[in-house]
Amino acid sequence: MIVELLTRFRFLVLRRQPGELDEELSFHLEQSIAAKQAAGLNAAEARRQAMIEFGGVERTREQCAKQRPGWWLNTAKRDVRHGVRLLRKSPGLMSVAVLTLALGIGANTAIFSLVDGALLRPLPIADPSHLVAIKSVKHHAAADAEGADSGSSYAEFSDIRQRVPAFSDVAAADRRGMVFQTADGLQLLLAEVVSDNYFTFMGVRPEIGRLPDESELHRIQSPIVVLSHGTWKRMFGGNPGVIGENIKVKGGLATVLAVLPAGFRGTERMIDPQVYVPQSSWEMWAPDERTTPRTVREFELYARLRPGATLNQAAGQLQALSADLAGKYPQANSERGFSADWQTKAEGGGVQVLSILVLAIAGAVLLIACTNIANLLLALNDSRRREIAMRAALGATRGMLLRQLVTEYAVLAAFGVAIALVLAQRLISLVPALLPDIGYPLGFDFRIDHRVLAFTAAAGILSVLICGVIPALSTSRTSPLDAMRTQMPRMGRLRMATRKLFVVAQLAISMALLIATGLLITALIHIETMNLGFNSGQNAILLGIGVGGKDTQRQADFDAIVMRMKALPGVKDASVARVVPFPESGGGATQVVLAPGEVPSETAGTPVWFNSVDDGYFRVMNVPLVRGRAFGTQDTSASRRVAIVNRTLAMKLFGTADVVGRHLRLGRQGPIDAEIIGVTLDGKYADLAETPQPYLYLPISQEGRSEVTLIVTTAGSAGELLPVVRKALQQTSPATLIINTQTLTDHMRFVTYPNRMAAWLMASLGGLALLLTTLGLYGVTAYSVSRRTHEIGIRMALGALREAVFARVLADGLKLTAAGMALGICLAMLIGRGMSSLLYGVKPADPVVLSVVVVLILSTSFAALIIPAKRALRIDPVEALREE
Amino acid sequence: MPTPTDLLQGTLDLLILQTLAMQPMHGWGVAQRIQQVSKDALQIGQGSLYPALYRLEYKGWIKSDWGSSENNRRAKFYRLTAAGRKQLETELASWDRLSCAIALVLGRAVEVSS
Repeated sequence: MIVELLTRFRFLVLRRQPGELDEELSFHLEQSIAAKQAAGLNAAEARRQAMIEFGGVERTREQCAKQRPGWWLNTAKRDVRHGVRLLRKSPGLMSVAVLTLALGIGANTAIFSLVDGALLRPLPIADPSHLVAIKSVKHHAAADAEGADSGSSYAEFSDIRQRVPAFSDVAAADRRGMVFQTADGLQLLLAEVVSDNYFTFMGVRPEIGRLPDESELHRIQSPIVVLSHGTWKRMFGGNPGVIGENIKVKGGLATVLAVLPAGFRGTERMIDPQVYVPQSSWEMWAPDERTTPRTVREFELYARLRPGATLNQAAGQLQALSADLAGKYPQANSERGFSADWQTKAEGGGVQVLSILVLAIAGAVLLIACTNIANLLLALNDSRRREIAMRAALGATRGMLLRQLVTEYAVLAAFGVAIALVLAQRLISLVPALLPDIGYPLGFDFRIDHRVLAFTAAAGILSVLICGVIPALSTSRTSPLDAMRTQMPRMGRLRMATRKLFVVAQLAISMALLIATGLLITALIHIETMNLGFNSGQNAILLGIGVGGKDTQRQADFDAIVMRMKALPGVKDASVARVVPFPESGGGATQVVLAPGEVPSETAGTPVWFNSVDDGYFRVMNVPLVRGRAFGTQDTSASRRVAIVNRTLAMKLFGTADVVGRHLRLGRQGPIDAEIIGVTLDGKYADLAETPQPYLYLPISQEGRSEVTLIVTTAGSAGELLPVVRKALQQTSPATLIINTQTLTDHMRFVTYPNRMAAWLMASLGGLALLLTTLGLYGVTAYSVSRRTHEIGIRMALGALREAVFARVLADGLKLTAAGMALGICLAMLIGRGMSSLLYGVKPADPVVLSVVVVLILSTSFAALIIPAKRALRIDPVEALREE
Repeated sequence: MPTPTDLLQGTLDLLILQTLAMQPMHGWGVAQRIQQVSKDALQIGQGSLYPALYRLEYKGWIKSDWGSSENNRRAKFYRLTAAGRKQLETELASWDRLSCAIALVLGRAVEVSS
């Protein structure tokens, strides 16, 4: 075997002397003649017979050459060389083809890379495809607000871990803020608080340092942290000496035990946690968390199935466990259960639909590019038909012609793919700047890796097939006889019909994409001018702040801070609230409200989204009160409890909006009575597309919160105000921690981010599609005119008016446009239905969008047609006829 | 001219290896030897002989050297390599199995000494 391989290799390197075979053959012939002479024939006759017997040597030569290992490589090399020569021969046409392909594939590669990073790429953990996600489920969830809550409490995690035998292990993780004390002051880091078995569970090995297992973590007496690769590089300069060092955190010291490898981010896709803290260490800083109530469901749970166990078994055991927990802890666990599914299935949802849609659209653009190239290649092959016929006449089989054409197209595709990769790399590097600023490092990991390369290669091969098959098949059918003719016969009508069909399809796809773009932009305008129930357009900064101290002291702190802010130059107004509408976590926390007459019980009441606000909130955020009054200074922790409701909540509880002076009760069991003092208009609170949701306001003075949002509005620029506010805040209340800062504009931008991203993507893909389609329409019309030169010449000679010829060319082209547009509108209706969640009530058949797109397509079509039509005008009948 | 019997695919390789196993030979010699031994039933034309020789050489089963022929002409002599000898043994064994099996199917089984 080895010998054989070595021999083969030797012959790959060394070439045989070309004359050797000829010498052998002539020796063979001589021997044959000699043998016949010896048998008694005369010299001439012996020679004659020997020659007849001997036969042709050319075939032998060829056969011997073919025995050489890697022989096919040589012919492939020859075909590639021929392909490159062909590209050079018609540089204009070919660079258009290569660029078209590069744009098409480049767009697809970039989008695939995005989708892969956000959704498809397996998580950087051990055996990612068999990770089970456990979600807490509330049965019969009435409102969106209830269903969204899918985390579990740490106590529930321990229960599941101990009492579900189908799972070999369960891990928990929760994202929290963690305050580091550095030389530059306090710094908030995004921490992943994880169960002690997390690192073993995920199968991650440290880049440096070591990750202790669970039992060792239990024995460690002082808290530890594990740094992400990024944090290690950024905060510690990548110094390996950081291992074992103590760093100051809020609440005490922590020892750095390890640095995780680059790219590890647990189960997170959108963010890159900066530190990882085992729960045992976290509890050392926050001892009260050991007794966190079961109702605080903050942890995401992940599990691995025991070998042989199934998801169904796990689900059954989880059900039994939930029933048991509901019996033991009715307040926390009644009406609740757990679901278990593969993590790969559990994540995604909305993102998945959007990704598929965008990939499909990118694919459509590639299809347009391919049909363009197919048209170009058909035109090119027409001009090469004599060459191809000549090859056929010289004995090339259909297979050989096909192979050569396909190789040429592969060369073209290789150039296209190479440029596409460069383009995609550029596009991807632009993306981070487009992501919204949410105060944390976003961890989308977009890159061109082997998965993306494989995708690109597949796209390239598919493109060669799509754009090469028709030209190659129809051209290789060329008859050798054609080479003899001086006048090449016309290509059949079928070829022209194929081309026209291509163009109609292109127009339809472009039309549909442009309509979709138009709809998205209309929806975006609609959103930005939509009445959200508060003034989302004003210049304001939002500061997440945390204050310490006792409840009574906190209220005084808030008042002092707001007072100080109002006194700052340039500041219009200020207020503190628990949240502003559209918090990052959907609607946020809920408060259970009992309807009048409803009997308190474990399951009674309706959970509603709520906000705790100060007396200035309604004024600062322009939330209109339709009845009653806003909170005032008279509402303190000592006075009677008051509340403000929105219209929907009022209607839901009392069937009327006139509810000032009525009472509602807060909480399921042992409810607290509160008097309604005002009613606001409905607004949007968690999602732009939501139906009117009930909403409740409570006075922050009666709530006692330590983390709030400080809202400061200004007449000037919000960005410039930020450092001033920050400084003033530190002077007034040095103990106050600024958790994050954001302008209201940025906050709202984050809300509309998916819409803007979709509009942006659609607009660029739609623009690209229109460009390619215009080129396609131009190409086909120009080709059709050049082929009809003769016919047009005769018409003119027979007295056809120039205007009539001009109009004829235009009309032919516009017929294609019309057919494409009709198809495109149908297609757009389908797409419009698919993305209705992004359209916020804008109808797919929006007349303004439709007419704008129709005008756009018509005018570009016109532009594409005018050049060939003018060329038709310039045809000189005498010249045209002489050409025959 | 007798019609040469069509050779089974791959059989030519076996015949060449067997012929060369006796002594190194040039192409003409191989063809002559096969013809003689088969009593003119097998005539190997140059069109199949040389491609087969080249194939075997590329596979490393035979080797060639230039030498001089009986009548002092320069000629290329082929000889079996160690790998070729092993290949010959394998192919002979499988040939025996095959011919035995065919004979059985055709109902002409004879004693085959192996």
